[in-house]
Amino acid sequence: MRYAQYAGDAVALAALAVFSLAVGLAINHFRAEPMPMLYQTQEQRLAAQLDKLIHAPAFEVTPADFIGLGQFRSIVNSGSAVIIDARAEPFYNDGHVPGALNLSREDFARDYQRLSSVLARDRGKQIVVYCSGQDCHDSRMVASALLSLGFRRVEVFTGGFEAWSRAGMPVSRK
Amino acid sequence: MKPLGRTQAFLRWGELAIRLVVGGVFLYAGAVKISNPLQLADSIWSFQILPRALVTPLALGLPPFEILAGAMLVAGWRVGALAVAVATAIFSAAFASTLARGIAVDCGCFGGGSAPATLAGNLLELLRDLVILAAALAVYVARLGARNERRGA
Repeated sequence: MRYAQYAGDAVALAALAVFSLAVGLAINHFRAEPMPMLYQTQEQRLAAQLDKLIHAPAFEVTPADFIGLGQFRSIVNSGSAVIIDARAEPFYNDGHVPGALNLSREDFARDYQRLSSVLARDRGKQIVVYCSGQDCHDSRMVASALLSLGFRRVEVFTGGFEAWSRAGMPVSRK
Repeated sequence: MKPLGRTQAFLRWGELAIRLVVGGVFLYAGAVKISNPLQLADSIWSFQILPRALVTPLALGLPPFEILAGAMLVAGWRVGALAVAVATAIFSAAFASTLARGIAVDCGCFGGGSAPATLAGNLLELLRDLVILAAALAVYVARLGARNERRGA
């Protein structure tokens, strides 16, 4: 008699456990970001995030549109876009377009994380990237990286800092 | 039904109090964890007991289990008391294992990350679980006895 009771309770307990697991799986399935079935440790998750950042510049795949000096100047003056300086930090500190943020190709992951809150806030805004001059590639690479990170309106000012300063436009120093 | 003696009345109220408190604790623990299974998974992983493949199923299944077991215990279902007892027995064994290995773990009992992981804290959590285990077992035995009495066994 007793044993039958214990066995019955054990079966009920097992059923409760199975039902709970089913409920948990169902809730997870309908979550906006379901948790993967194989657990990823905190270290693995951080590595995946960094990987995502570092491997982002697929610049051949997603070329950005180009704009000239006249258009760039009116965009800077209107303050309607996010201006990105893709050169290395010392060049940026030495002189950059007023209001530009330094998101360098060289330290992209580090700079991106530093700027992520600003960029996330202005996600829908137009982004214009420049580098040193006509022949540099950093602006195209950073623009492509931003496109592959999900930013939609990314353009490259081809003349770069050289064309900007030669036209006698204002320059900010850090 | 014969009138209750003093001792029996005391036991009956005591049992009700245990059911409400322990069942309430389980309901609360499950409810605060159910929205963040990833945090719970990190806590489970920190115990260094389960293989990676079992961490996610446990992190997803444990909160609903705690909520259901807690609700059943409050409602006075014998299986609810058994479920709480078995769960706390497993929690206690897990804490005993980490304490024996000298690993301080984030318990994750009530959502995790609320208190820094210390061995002293883990020892207190082990003692708390042992108290809950004893209380849940007492309710289970009392419910089993009451059932058999009703059936004249």
